[in-house]
Amino acid sequence: VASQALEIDVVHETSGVVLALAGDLDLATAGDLVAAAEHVLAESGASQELVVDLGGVGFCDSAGISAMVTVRRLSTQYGWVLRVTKAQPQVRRVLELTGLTAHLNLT
Amino acid sequence: VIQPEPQPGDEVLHRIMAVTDAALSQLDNEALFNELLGRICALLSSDTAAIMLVDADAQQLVTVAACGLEDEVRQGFRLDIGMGFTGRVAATRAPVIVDRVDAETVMSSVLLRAGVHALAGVPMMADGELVGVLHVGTYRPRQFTEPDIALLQLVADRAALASQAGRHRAEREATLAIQRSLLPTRLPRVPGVDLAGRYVPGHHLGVGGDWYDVFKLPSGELGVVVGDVSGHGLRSAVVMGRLRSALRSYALIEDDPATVLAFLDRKIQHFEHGNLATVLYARISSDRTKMLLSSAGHLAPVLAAPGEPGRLLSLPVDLPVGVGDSSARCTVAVDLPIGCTVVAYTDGLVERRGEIIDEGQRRLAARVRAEPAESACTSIMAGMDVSDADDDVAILAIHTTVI
Repeated sequence: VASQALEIDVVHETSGVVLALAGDLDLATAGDLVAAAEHVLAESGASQELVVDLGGVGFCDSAGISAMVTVRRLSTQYGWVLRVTKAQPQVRRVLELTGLTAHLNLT
Repeated sequence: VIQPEPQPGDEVLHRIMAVTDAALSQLDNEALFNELLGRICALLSSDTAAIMLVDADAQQLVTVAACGLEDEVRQGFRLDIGMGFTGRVAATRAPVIVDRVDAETVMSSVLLRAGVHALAGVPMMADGELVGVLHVGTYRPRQFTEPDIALLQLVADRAALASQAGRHRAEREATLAIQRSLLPTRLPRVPGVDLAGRYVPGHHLGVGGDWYDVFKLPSGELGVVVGDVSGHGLRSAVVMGRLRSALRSYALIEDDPATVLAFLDRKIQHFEHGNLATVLYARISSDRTKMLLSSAGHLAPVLAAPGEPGRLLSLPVDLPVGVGDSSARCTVAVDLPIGCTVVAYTDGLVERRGEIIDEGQRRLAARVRAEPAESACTSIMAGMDVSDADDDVAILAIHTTVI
């Protein structure tokens, strides 16, 4: 199965910003997630909640995991709270097996 | 129809193209650059020419080849991007012409001392990235023209492509060399166990930061490590090498695997900030009947006792090292029946697109039997179809025997 490009929709809500991802979160696309999060954190004013919606992500490798850890670190630096949601079973399992569900606030 | 007279430059231009086309496949950049510079000097009737390449880490330009300015190469001339004449070319990514060279416009003492009067420089771009700067100069006054610049740019583009291709190849070779030098193909011979390992670089993404390690401890115990630094390429391999050495050091001063990984976490957070690695560290007792292990976000090993199918060890998983959250880590004890086989591995072995990772782990567990380490590795590699894997694959098999 070939790698799928990652699409990132940025949705501004009253409580924060949602990054809705669709595609594969892997070495080729991990940098896009970090760049998108960094942009949101730097551009938006007051500290809020950053939600990474993994509903459309079918594959996540160690580079994708690393990107999410980076996003969590950036969020904390900007005083934001990160929440990761809607992970499909295969992505959720990878995060569980890597011991990151609590750190990434996976709901 | 009257054909235009061939210009004297056409043949040289043709030769430049021929050189670069051949060189793109052969990739001896030093020879290519020297050849190109000689030809561009002849073509533009210039007295000097040089290629400076970007050192991305230092954000500097380094002279790597020169014609008439060989001292710059010998002296390893370096310039911050943005400074001086070539620094301006790099910063603006646009051609720069200097009609009168003096200490105001040019920083290279070699260029100044050589008595260069006029200069023209163009950026070397590949895939939208700045690779370096190509410049030519004359000892006499000279107005570089638009066609001169166009020609210079053409050569710079070719040189940039060749440079990038060569760099990619060199980086892959260097990464593989590091990986090979740090992954023992011949594991230590120690009483009570036989050992075997495999490493297969990733198919599409190339070499990464996977590693395994086995070392004797002064107590007669055995330290066993499998880890995976996230990312790929030379950088990950270098970080892997550092973590491997650091873990060995901590293993000498601290017995508890969880504490060793906590030290490693502090090390990576302080000295390799921004990197992330999953690591499994196990200490096997000197009588080889017990294993203490701790997992920093790493996949659980498979154990097969004699006459029994392989099973995934149930193991609490702590955070990977480098996450930046110093929560508690734990160590668990696992009994090792004599004649059992333990297999530790990296995610490339079991993770496949379009499938839950448990499937891959189940396939692996079904493959592992209590058998000598070498044949266990062979059987796993044959059965897991790693030819399909995007990611690196590292496995380490440990088979316990009667001491």
